[in-house]
Amino acid sequence: MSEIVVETQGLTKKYDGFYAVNGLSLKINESEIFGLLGPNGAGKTTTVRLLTGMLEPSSGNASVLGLNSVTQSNKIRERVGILTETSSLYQRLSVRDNLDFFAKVHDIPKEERDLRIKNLVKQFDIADKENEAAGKLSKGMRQKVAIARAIIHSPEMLFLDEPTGSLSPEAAKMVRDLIVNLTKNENRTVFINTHNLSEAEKLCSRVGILEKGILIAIGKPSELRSLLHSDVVTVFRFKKWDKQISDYFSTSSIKIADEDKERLSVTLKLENIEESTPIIIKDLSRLNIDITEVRHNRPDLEQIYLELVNGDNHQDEMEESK
Amino acid sequence: MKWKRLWALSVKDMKDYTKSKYIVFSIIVLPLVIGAIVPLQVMLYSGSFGAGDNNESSVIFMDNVLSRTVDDWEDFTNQAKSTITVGYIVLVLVAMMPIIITSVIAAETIAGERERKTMEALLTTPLTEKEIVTGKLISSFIPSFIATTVAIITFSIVMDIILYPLIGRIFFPDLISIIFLFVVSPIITIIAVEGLILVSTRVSTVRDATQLGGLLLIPLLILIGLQVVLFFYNTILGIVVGPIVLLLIAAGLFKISTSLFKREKALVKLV
Repeated sequence: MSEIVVETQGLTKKYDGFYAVNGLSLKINESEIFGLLGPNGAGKTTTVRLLTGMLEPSSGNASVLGLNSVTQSNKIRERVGILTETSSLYQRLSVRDNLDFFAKVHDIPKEERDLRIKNLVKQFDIADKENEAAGKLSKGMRQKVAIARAIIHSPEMLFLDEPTGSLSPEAAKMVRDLIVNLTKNENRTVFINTHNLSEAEKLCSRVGILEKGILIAIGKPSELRSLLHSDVVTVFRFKKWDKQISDYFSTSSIKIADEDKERLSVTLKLENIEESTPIIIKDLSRLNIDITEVRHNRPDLEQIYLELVNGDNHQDEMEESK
Repeated sequence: MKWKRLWALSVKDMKDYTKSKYIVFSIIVLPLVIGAIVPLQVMLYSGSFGAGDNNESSVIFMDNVLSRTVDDWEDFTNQAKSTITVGYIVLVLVAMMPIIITSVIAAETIAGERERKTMEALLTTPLTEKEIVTGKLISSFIPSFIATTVAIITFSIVMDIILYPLIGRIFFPDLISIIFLFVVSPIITIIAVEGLILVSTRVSTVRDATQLGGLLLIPLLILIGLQVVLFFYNTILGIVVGPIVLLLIAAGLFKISTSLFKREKALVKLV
């Protein structure tokens, strides 16, 4: 069984009556890619700062790699890599000097520093920019340098705050591949704060959804689907629209979620997909209706996220109106 | 404290701000202006170049003071005495130079990191708060000390060129200027840096830090003035007690600045 590397119990951060993080309890296992999702101001960055000992909790506690986030915070920062929301590079210094400084504060000897910098700039495809001032680089390039800086000391765990936010699709894919590589081949644990839900779905083994400092859902993306009211829907698309299509579905006991005459499709909520789908296909064929496409749509993480977050907001509004 | 780490921070800071033409200009031009041009100007103004001894009262006043510290004072002409007196006044100006240089550099250090949004990345490192403050202190101290040394050397050369025809020997650097260079000036520099770091931790921009740092000039000038008076009142007291008091002030300020610089406060100020 894999080891627990992050554990929090009732972790809370309060500022003047406002809860940035409220009673957060979670466990993250070794080699896991954990994604923390949530709208702006939900408390994602504060959570990372609390876990890495940059902020002290108002109540509750947290441990990272078995180290207490308050009393052993410097030790935590020695063993983890942190990518902040903004690239935070020294603009006047070269890429090399930026990386070299962070390697030095992690006590990496000179020869090893040089080797690591050489490998990282090659890996991130920025070798030709090594001696260029960081301020002259594009936003995407700067992000690459910032990620390289976060992993220069080969940390056991990585905290990445919006790692691909400013990257081109190619660079973002490279970063995602790198994150997967770090967990699969090098056994590292990764904690990602992201707005990018498709990215979280592709990358994360588990996700947590944070709303107003409260963890409203946690689990594998597949587990979170079961929390949804909306379930799998089946979409039928036709060659042309025929009145018979509307007639067939209105007389049957099938639940229609949507009928889109312009896109020549109907969306159904079927009780038993396996049994009902072939029957509907047969019935429609008998009526000489040409079907061009049948597909089952499972809710993606974005739908889950929006339903959970909006549902929560809606509940708040209802409570306020009472 | 891990000295290798904090030295890495100091080296990074020095590399960073020496890439700013504005800062490099201040470090190079100030010692030359204060060390060479100011003594020449003051000499011309005071009429030391052949204008005669037109300031009897000040010479009489300085007779009482400098006869205690300069062995052959009585052998000098009034013109030489007046030139040496002005020289000492310029020396005090030189001692004030670290305050000006550090106001440029130290404000850059913490407030600059915050302004350029690099502070958060710095706070993600294993550097302790004490290491960060000490690293910043060293990176601000070194250029100020180098500039002060250059200024005192330049000052001594210029003063000796002016004085040699009058007294027939090399006068500067004398004991007082050496003590100023190696004892008083470094401690004043440390106090100035600590004061400015203290200010930098409380404000968000370099401009605010520099402006608020300007207020530090007053207590520092009082300290330099007291040290000068002590020197001329009693040399031993000036050499021993004055620097000890200055050192105590520096140690106290170090304790205050390290205890006030907290990760959490620095981060909250970033928001």
